[in-house]
Amino acid sequence: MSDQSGSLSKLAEAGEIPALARLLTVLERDGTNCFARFPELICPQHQAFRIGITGPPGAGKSTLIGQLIGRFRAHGLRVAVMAVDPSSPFSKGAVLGDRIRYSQHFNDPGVFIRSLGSRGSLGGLSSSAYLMVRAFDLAKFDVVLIETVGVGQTELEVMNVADLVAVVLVPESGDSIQGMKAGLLEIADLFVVNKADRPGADAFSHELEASLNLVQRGSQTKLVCTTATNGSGVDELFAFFDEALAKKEWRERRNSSQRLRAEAQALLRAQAEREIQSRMDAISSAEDFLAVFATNTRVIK
Amino acid sequence: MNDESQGAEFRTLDASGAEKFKNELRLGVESVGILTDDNQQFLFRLTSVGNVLAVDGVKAAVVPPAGRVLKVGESAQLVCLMSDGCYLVRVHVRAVDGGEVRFVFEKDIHRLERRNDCRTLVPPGFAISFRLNSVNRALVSNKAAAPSSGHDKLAVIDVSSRGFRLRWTLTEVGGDSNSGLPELKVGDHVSGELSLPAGRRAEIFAAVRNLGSVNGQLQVGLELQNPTIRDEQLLLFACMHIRQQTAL
Repeated sequence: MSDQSGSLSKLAEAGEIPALARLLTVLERDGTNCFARFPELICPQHQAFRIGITGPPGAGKSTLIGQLIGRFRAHGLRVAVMAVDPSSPFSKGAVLGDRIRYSQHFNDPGVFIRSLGSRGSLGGLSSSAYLMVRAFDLAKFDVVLIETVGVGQTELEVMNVADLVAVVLVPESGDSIQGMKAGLLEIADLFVVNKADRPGADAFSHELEASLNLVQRGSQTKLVCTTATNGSGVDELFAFFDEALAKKEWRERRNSSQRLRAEAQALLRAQAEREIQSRMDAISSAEDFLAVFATNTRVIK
Repeated sequence: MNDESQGAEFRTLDASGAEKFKNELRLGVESVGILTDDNQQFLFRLTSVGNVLAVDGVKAAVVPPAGRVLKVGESAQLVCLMSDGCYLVRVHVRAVDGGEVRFVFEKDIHRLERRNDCRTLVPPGFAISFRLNSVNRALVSNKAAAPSSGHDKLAVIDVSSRGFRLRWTLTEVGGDSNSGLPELKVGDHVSGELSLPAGRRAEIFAAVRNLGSVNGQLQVGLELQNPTIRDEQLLLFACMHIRQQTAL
């Protein structure tokens, strides 16, 4: 098994996409146990720039990502897309969701698309996401686009994986967003007002900009207006990402103690949950129950 | 089947829904996703449809030829994104010919629902309530329509971007009361004001979609009628607010 595993990671490292697909499946299934089998994941030589794209449902995130993939590919960059999708009722696998819409990129060997099942990961989504992006590093992708519906805390936590986070909103979000002082707004490095051809887009953009200046004095948070369906504003958005990618500051941030601790916390928590689950699975009688605790507690004897 | 973190829910289609799905397939779906039973994911182009589906058209460099990952007799899940939503069906591999795979699919077809609606339970402590103004355009002349006193509103049980569910009793000091509330039937139209977190309010015009009794309490499911995008966003952000505030 170890030989097979080893060859899987080597093949993925060499750019064999089918091997990468299998490696990701193993990572999602086995969690941190995979570090023993794939030690090269712990410290990959190459690091991909991770861009998180989140926002409420219907904001046009998938269409925007479709447009961005095209821009990155035009610049010769290899792109991986990781998205959190609902889990299948038949299995714990992700349902792929809107990823199917990226059909124009299916046959491009420089694009890899992978969904992450929202209920399939023991120990939480974040840990699976952290492991998967490491596999994308290993496979030498230049950019990883991470998409989540920014509805709940879990999805927002996935954004910790990213080096830069864009929050996508629509002009009609204006009235609603005023009440949201935390969560979605806190994690943004960049706001995208998509569907900017709709009425009220300018007013909302100015309002958002003003409130950002008010709340985060001296903040560098940028705002870009786009209409993803016709590509309007996407060049400006791409330029922002391209510039950030070139600056390389993201490498320092990724290796900061804060980021490393957050990742370690997610992975260790997942590891602990797996351990608890495996111990629970072993219990089918009172003797089993005692056995679980007898190893830790002499009093039971 | 409810996927709480994504607000997603799968519904099994009835016979007419399944037939409609098959007809839509015949009209053409450009691409489909395939999930193998060991959670591998592949995206394919759908090349022909009918009672048997066939997929191929991907370069081996991108994903392995379908024939290499799917064997005759194996089963998988097919995900089809269509104009009206996302569908999921279990398929069995009938034939493999090079890169092309032919499937037969099981009778049950599931539709992914509510994903964009983000239906969210309203936990205690979140003041989301509804003040009823009218039923079928007739003003309601009871406490439910009286100026807000804090005890004249209907409690909201869950909320989504498309509607909400109410407990059809008025909140009273010392107990619940449904005195003065009109009887409703499916299809009735109601209007009123929905109070949301952070002091947001939305004027609502909705239709009764379902009525049910839970633990002896009547519950009413309401669907917004011709909602503006602003209204949908208000409700959506209320859902997001609840989910973020109640996360463990």
